[in-house]
This record gives sequence, structure tokens and C-alpha cells, in this order.
Amino acid sequence: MKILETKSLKKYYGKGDNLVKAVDGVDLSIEEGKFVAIVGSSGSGKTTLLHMIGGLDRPTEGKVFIDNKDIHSMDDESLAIFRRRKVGFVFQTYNLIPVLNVWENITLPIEFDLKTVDNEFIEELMRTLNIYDKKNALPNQLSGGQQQRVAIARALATRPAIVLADEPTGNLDSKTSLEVINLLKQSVRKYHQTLVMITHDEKLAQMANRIVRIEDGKLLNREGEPC
Amino acid sequence: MLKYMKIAWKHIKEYKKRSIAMILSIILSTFLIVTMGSLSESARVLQVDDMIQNTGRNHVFYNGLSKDQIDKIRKEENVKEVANSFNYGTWKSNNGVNVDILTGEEKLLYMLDTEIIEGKYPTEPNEIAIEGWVLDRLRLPHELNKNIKLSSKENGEKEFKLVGIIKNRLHSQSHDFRNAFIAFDEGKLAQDKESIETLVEFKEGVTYKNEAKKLGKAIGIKDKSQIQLNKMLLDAMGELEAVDWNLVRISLLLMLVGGIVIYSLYSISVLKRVQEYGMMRAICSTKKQIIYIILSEIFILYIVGASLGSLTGMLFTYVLKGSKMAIFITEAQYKLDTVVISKFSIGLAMLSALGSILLAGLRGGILANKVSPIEAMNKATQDKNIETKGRESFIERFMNVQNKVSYKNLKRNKKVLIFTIIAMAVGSTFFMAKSFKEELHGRSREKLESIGDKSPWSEILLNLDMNEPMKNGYTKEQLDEIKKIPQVENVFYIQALYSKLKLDKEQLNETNGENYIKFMNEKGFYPDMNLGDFYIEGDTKDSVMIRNVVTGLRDKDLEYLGKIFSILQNEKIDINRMKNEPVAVVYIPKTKENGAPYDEKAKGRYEPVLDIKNGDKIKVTIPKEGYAKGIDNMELLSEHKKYSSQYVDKEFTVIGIVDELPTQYRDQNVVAMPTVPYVLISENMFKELSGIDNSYRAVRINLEENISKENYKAVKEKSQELSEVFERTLFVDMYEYNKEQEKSSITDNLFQNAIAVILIMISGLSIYNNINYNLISRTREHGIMKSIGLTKKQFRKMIGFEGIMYGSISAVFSCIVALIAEIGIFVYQVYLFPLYVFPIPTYTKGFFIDWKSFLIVIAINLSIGYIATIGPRRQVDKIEITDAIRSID
Repeated sequence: MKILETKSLKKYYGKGDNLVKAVDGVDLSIEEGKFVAIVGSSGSGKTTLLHMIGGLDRPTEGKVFIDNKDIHSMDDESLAIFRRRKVGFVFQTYNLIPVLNVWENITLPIEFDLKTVDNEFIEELMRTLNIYDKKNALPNQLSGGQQQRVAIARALATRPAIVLADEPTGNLDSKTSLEVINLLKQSVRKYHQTLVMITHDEKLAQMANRIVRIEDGKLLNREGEPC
Repeated sequence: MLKYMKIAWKHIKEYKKRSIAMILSIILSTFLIVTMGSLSESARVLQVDDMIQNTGRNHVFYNGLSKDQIDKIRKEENVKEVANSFNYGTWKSNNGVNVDILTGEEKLLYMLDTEIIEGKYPTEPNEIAIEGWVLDRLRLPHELNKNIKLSSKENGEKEFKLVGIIKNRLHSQSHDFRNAFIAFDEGKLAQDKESIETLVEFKEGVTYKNEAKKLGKAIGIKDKSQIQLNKMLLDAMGELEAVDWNLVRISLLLMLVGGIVIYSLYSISVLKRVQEYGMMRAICSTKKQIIYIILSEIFILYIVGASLGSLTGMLFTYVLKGSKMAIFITEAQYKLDTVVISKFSIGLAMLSALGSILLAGLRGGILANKVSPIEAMNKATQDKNIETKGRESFIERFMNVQNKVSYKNLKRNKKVLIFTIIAMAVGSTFFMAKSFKEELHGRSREKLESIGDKSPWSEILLNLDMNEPMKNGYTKEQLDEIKKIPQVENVFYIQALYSKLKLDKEQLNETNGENYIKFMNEKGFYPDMNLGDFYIEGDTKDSVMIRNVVTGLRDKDLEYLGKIFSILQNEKIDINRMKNEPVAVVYIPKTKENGAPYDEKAKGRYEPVLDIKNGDKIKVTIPKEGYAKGIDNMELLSEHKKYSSQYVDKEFTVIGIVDELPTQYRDQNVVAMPTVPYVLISENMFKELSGIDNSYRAVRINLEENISKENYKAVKEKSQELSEVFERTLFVDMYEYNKEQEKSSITDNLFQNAIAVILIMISGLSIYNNINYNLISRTREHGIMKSIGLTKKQFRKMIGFEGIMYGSISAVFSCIVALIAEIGIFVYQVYLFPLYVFPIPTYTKGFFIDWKSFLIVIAINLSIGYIATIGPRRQVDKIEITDAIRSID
């Protein structure tokens, strides 16, 4: 069953001679429960694609369906609510809120939704990610790997349908990177979620069920040609 | 250096908004200091001018000089003007008005701050010049060359020609001091040098006090009493006090507010550029070079801001010319005719602006140089300082997560918070304290008026002269005629008797009492006026007699006294007992340890000079026969021994001690100043004591606010007629003066409010900027929260909450500081120094909270806090979430 589908997704910047086609007519569909890696070189448009998939950025043209819902037909308010319920984000720079401790950072999207925090679930999540003992620590008291694990826990906290990870290991050393990806993979499997990860690291991409390649804003087929 | 200036100039141009805000803050700060400093100095000059009107322009006067000595003075380099005069005598006019005639050189008018407005100054022996209002009092037409017959005890009857009309001296008019001027007689210098007074004004720039003494020595004066300094004028000039603490206080307040604003604005401006400085350092700029760039920028901003600020300050001060204002350093009202641009305040403004901007620059420079270029470029300097506390605070438990983030951020920016609060508290406290004072005076006045008295603001005053025999006075019937004139609100009148109190020495309140009688004898009871001793040894060695005044009150006034007691002292007095029994209410002056009633600077607290309590017996003694025979009071006052056989005693039981003497119970003569004890009794007892009935010596007439011109004229005419019944009667018409005072006080309020608005505005600017920076610097954080599902609505609420939090904390702090200040003002005005410091006692004895000003300050603080979030909110709203997150990458 498809959890995500994009139709002729385009994102253009500028005009005339300065027109930049960051994403240029991407058609992509992802099955539920899969781990998909989007691979591309720097400036290929992979982050822009991920942002549009997650509803952080509006496309110039085209549509994004998550759970069969056209997310860009929603207004900002509804999109924000949809995002916090259905999409989990993991960023390269962790993007934790510096004044909130680990627990507060993880439960932040649930609190935004004015829902009661399922303490048992969050604690289990933290144990899975091995950060339970850091519950009361502030982000600046954690290592990079620990911060990224907190970010993963935050992404999973609302039990989203899809987790979008933008170069989650970009700031980590190779050993920690491997550890984090394994944890991410293990978690989404455990909680039956779909993972879309951007990376330019071929080794990490190989750990995915499927690899999608992007170049100059276009997806490439198995032969490496734009499709 | 030029290259750094160029870079700095580029910075300024690049960040136009920020640079304009910086320049604006310097302008506002210097403007504020220059304006207020100049106004304060102008006010001081006006105070000096006013004092010149009251006491004359001369810095010193010498008496008893010879012609040679006067000639020597004229030749002295530092002497600006000299005027000689002597008393010709007292002219007793046909309508009972006494006028003191001065024989003086023409320069005397200059010294007395007046001039001829019609005709000329008398040059011939039979010529005379008189002020317009004095002619009115004498009922003489303002007609030049008219002959006036003048009779004086000293020179008999003589005819003079009116050759000049002199400009009214308002001070003399409001005190009913009447003078006429005749030509100076040079011959007198040789004949009777003892009575000559030589008034000397020195040139500007010299120390007048020293110069007066130096000159005295130079012309050979050996007796120090021949040199009389014009102390009141020198005091107004600030020459008698080494440090002008008032100016220092105002300056410090201004420096604080101005400094905080500039400092916080520039600090933020530099902090915002830490990234840029990091980049410069990454491309090999040295730390020194960064500092040079910052200094260059400071230099440009400072020169532009400080010059514009000073200029606008000067212009604004000129614009205020002609307006009426209250001086900052006294309670009096002045019309701002003279505008002085204070060099001191310009210097102060320049220094304070430079100091604060340099301090901020230095802080920014140190920070830019302390962090590594990479950190600076990433702006990753903030998160490092965040600390954790194990548990969340109590208040956080009641907050949703967005508000918690705001609250934690607020706690994280403690310095910003402290600056914000201080800046706001200064402006708010100024406004609230001012508002409280106004309310306190308003309530006090209301209270007084609610018990039927507005005597401190009476329009017309009649008071028999102290020479006038005690049995003389106006009758009820005469005074009722005034009361019958429409729009006369009420007429207060009292009986008064100059008497002596027979006391046991034990009844003197220790050091205060002992020093008091000494002080009064030597200085306080006008030893030059031939009033006799204030204190006389009693019949036994343990007893003593001191001067006092007995006031006989009508039934209506007794009731009023009862009300005053219940309001002022929360006590009840038995009025009915007062009507029929020899019981009295006593007013006892208060002094500090040195015994001088008006000495604010003396050590210790004000204490009553007599140790008299309720139930004690006091003995009043009066020369009953002397009063009945109508002997001149001065004679009776000065010759105690001669008339001692005529004194009779009457004992009264004290049933109340009034802390402050209600104004309408006062006799205006110096012998009855509120520095002497008063014994308040009923009319019945007054009659029994003195045998005097239906004879009132002190009258106060209150007019309705909107009295017509005709009715006012009728009251004035009737009052003047009454004033002429007895010679030398004090007749004061304050109608126009009171009206002017009221207008002045309205303008003054506007002016004071304007200062509060400027202070709040300048503090508001600082708060706005701080909150603005704080929010903008967290754009990334906001982006993150939006990316994980924070809706626009939630975001707006969150930001709004943060602004309101700043506003609330600042409001709470301001309210606390203001409340402390208000309690201080209240205690000072009502309990510590209720008497002698303020012209009218404060009748509100209970502390109150001026809710209006509190609500205004809370509303202003909350509004500024909230408004400050609108800009950043819009700015952050405009930024795409993806850009916001990327702002750290």
C-alpha cells in the first residue's frame, strides 16, 4: 500500500535566466513500512524534495499525497497539524530546542497537539535509543550522536506514518553514523513506520530497502538516466 | 584609521535600520539630558530672578559707611553697581495706609528689580515716585505732577509732586509691603552716615560671599555687623551650598536612563554582527582591527547622534520659552521667560552617551574577539551558556510547552531582562511617584475642603497690624456685609490675643525646649523689631514665661476644629466643654535638637518644644487692663516689666494638642508666627479672659471659583474699605495670583507628564529593541518548532506570551519600586517633615494606592511588551520554515 506519492513535483526558484529548477517533475511513490534512501550529490535537489514531501516547503507545481491526502491543498494551519501527526523529521543539525531538556524535546510535538503524553511509550522509545538516562539533560550537555538520537525519538514520538531524515548522520563520525542508522531502522521497523532518508553516503544508502537517485532535480532510473 | 572609518561607514549604510535606531537612541538620550538640564538651570536662573524680586539684586549691603568708603567701593574693579538709600520715614495716609518712604539713588530701583514706567525718577527734594498698586491702596489717581501731601512722624507734613510711576513689584504687592521713593540727599552722607544703607552688586564670575567680605576689609570695616549678605539670593544662586545635589540627582537619573538605552541598543547591534566579525577574523583580521572598526563606527554614530540630540534639546528648550513651569528644585511656579542652555548638561549628555556607547562597544569587541571565528560565524555562542536545573519551577507546571519555551528563554536572557526592567522602572517610577504626589495633594485638599475650609487658598486676607490695640478688630456685622455679597463662599475670622504662657521649666521638652527658647530670644523673635524678649524669667526660679497667641473661636470654628482633630489625629475633642469651661486645645511648635523651628538640615527629629499632655494645666497671662485701655501693642510687648502689675492669669486644662496649626486660626503678624505656641479657646472663654468681645483681627475671604468681575470688585472694594478702618492693616488680594497659580500648575502637570512620557518612551525603545533582538535571534528555534508541527496561531500566541511576560515582569518590578518610592514620599511628607518643609500640611493621614497610575504603568508595560513582538513575529512568519532552519547551517 502506498503511503507516499508525488506527482510531477516541481520547485523552481528565480525567473528568466536566473531560473533554478531545484526539483523538476518528480514522480515518486513509496510503499508503507519501507526504508527508502534518496541519494544525490550536493545541490541535486534532494533536501528540497524532502522538504516538499514533509510539507515544510510548498511546490511550484505538482502534488504530494501522504496517506492519500493531498498535503499541499491544505492551508498552513491544517498542514502544520497534519505534519505533527503524520510526519516525523530528523535533521542533519539535530535541531533540538536548546532550553528544553531531552524529555521535553521528545514530547514537544505531542504537547503542541495538546494530547496526553504516553509516558510508557516515550520511555520505551528512549530506552530503545539508549538515551533514557539523559532524560533531564539539556541538548548542550549531549554528544552529537546522543542529540541525533533525541531528534529521532522526537520524530517517532507522535507515531507518525512517515519519518523523513535529512542527512541524519551528516555531523557524525562513521561509527556513530552506523549506530544511528541502525537505531533509526530498528525503530521504524518496531513501530511500523516508513522511513525516507536523504544521504550522499552510498554505504548507508545500501542499508535501505530501496534507493532513489536524484540529479539536477530529476529522479534517475536504474540506468542512471532521468526518468 | 581612515580605512576603518570606511568599513564602519559601510556597516552603517548596510544596516540602515539599526544605525538609525542607534542614532535615534543617542539623540533621544542627549536630547533628554540637555533639555531637562537646561530647563533645570533655566529654572534656577528664574528662581534667582524671583529672589531678586523678593530681596533685591544686591549681593550684599553695608550700613553706616562714610562717603570715602562709598567712593572706594565705586572704584572697586569687581563691583558692578552701587546704590545708596536711607529711610525718610513712614507716611501715614488719610485712609490709614502706611507707606515707607525711601530716599535713594536712582540705581535703587534697579537694585530692587523695578523701573520707572511713567515720568521720571525724583531728582528734586519735593519730588516723589510711587508704584501703581501703592497709589491704588492710597486711593490716589495715577496722575503725574499731582501734588501729594505727606505727613510722617519723622519729618512732619510736606508736599511732594508725583513725578514718576514705578512698575509694580509683585512680591511687595502680594505681601502688602508699601514703599515710595524720593530723591537722594547727598548731604545726608556726611550728616547721618549711621542710617545709610549701601547696596552692592558684584560683577559676574566672582564668588560673591568672599568678595563681599574682601571688599568690607578693603574699605576698612571692622564691625562685622556692618556687612549683611543677601543670603536668600546667594542661596538661590547655589553659592551657599557647595554641591548642587538636586542637579546631581537629576543628572544621575538622566544618565542612567539614557545610558541604559544606548548601551543595550549598541550591545545588540554588535552582537548581531558577531557572525560578520567571525568571518573577518577567519580571513585574517586581527583582534585589534575588529576593535578599531567598532570604535570607528561608534565615533560616527556618536558624533551624528550627540550633535543632533544637543541641537534638538536646545531648540526644544527655546520652544518652551514663555510657558509656565514648576522648577525642579523648589515648589514654586515660574514662567519660563529666561532660557539658559546648560553647558553642564551638554557636557553631561555627551559624556554619558560616549560612556555608554563605548562600554557597549567594548563589550561587543571583547565578545567578538573571545569566540572562535567558527563559533562566531555559526552564531553558536548562545546555547553554550544554558544551564539546567533539575526540576521545573513551580510556575512552569501551569504552562503549556510553548509558553514554557518562552519562559525558559526569558530566564536564559537574564541580562537583557535586567536591563529591560531597570530602563522601564526608571520611567515608570518617575511617572507613578509624580502621580502619587499629585493624588496625595489632591486628596489632602479635598479632605480639607470637605470639612468646609479652603483657607490656605483664600483670595482675600485682612489682618490688623500688631501695633493695633488688642481690643480693636472688625465686628461680626461688618464682616457679614462681605458675606452678603453674592458668590462669596465663606468668611473666616478669629479673635486673637498676644499673651504669655506661664510654664514650669519642667514643661520645656528637654534640649529641644531649652534650645528653642534660647533660639527664639536671640534670633527667632525678631530682636530688631523691638518686640521685647520672647522668654522672661517667671515668678519663681523654676518657672518661665514665653510668648504665645490665644485664639478665640466661634462655635462654627470649634466644630471645624473637632473635624480637623478627627481627620488629622483620629481623636475626639469635647467641643461643648470648650464652650463653657476653661479648657483649651494647644498647638506646640516643633524643632530639632538645636531649637530652630525651620532648620531642615539640623540633626535629629522634629519634636514638640513643650512637654504638655492632655489633662495638663497651663496658665495664660495677659495685661488685661493694658488691653482694655487700648495701649499700643508694641509698647505692651516690649515693656513687660512696666506693665507687669496689669497682668492677669487664667488657667486652662488642655483637652487636645493639635500637631499642625490650621491656617485660618493664624494671625499674620510676625509676633504670631507659627513658631510660637497657640492656645485655642472658645469665644466665651476668650471674653472671660480678656473682656474683648465681637472684635476680630484676622479675616480670610474665600470666593467662589466662577465669581463675576462685578462681585469680585465689590468684595475687593468692601475689603479695602475695612482695611482702611485701622491703620497699617495688612490687605492682601490673591485672586489673580491664585488663578495664575492654578494655570501654572496645569502647565506644570503637562510638563511633568511630558518628561514621564519621554522617559517611558526612551525606556520603551530599549525594551522594544531587546525583545525584538531576542526573538529575531531565535528565528531558527521558531523554524524548528514549526517544522515539528507548531501552527501559526500557536506561534503567535507563544511570541505574544513572551512579550507579555517581559511586560509583566517589568510592570511588577516598576510597581514594586514605585510603591516603595510612594511609601517613602508619604512617610516623608506626612509623618517625618509635615511642618516647615511644606507650606500646607498634608491632611491625608492614611496611605493609599494610586490605582490609576499603577494600571497605566501596567498597561504601558504590557503594551510595549506585546507591541515589541509584532515586528519579529511578522518577520519570522515571512521566513519559510526551511530558511529558518537553515539559518544555522
